[in-house]
Amino acid sequence: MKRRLELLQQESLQAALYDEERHMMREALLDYIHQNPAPSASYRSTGRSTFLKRNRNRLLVMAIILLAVASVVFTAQRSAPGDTLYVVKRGVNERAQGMFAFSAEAKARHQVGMMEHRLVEVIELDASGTLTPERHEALRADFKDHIGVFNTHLKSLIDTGKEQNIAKAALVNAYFNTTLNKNARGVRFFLDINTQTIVQ
Amino acid sequence: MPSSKKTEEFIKLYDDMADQLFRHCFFKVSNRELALDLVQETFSRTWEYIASGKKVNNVRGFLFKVANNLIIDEYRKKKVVSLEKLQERTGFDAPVQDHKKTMFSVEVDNILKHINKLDKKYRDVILMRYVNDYSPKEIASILGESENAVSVRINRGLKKVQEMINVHTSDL
Repeated sequence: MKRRLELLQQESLQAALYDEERHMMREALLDYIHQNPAPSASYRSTGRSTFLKRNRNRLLVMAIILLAVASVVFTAQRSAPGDTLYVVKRGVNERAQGMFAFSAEAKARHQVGMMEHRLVEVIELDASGTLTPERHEALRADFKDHIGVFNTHLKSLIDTGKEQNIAKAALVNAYFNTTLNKNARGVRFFLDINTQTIVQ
Repeated sequence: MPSSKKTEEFIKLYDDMADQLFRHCFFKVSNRELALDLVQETFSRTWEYIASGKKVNNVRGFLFKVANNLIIDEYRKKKVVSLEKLQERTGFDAPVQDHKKTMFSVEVDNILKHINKLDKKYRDVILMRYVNDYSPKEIASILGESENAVSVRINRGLKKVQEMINVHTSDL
């Protein structure tokens, strides 16, 4: 049996293409390939291209969603109280910015930034004649809150008793005063709010 | 523009696999011209599939699947004379490199006759093992089965062939 199988293996090799047949078939195949090109086809597809092919639609949807979210966030940044997107500006944009403030100094600086936003908003609303009493009151309340939180962070720096932190508190306080001076036109809308800090 | 790299890869695949596919087709359809057409069609269809952007993980297995499907189509068209009938009539007629038609040796002719009496599941693996000279591992990869399952099937098939030979010999 074994010998028969060995013979079968040997003699089977005789069943092969003639050289001219192999050549002609090869040429015909090349013609066919040139008539039916495959610019991106491969039977050895890479993981990357396969991933892109399989998830093309999902990636497209994700890209559209990301683009839409980015557009909303960007537009919201320019919104003023009373605008539909103002909620996004306060609830998403400013909150997200605050998430990256880890130290008391950074948190205090973040609050100064928020105060400046409120001051700019009140100036712009007044200039456009849309500063209604409700909007004014809302901005005033927010501004007051920012000052309160700012003072808390400032105090936590000073309470450490370290010279280094006290110096930081002085610097942040200077930044606060500069911001108020820079937006003095806005501050006059919040004259009833005490802008004295514990450093002063 | 077609990718020249892809074309080169595919032509290399043709160079590597053309004879093996021809042998596979030839031993199944027992008609040289038809086997040539089947090989040509197998490669064209495989390229067409790849060109459409579809992924092929096991390209050798894919070629054999395409070839087997084409062979089945041919059987359905009833254009093929069965190997067994051909052997009974004239003995097996094999093509050779020097363009001369020669017969297989009596022993090989005899064992082929018995192999072709086996069920398809045994016949296919035995032909792949001893005609195409594939290892059980390669056959397993082509058929998408385990190496163990292929080895078991080859051994069982060979036992059946041995039994047929024994019966045939005792009858003489």
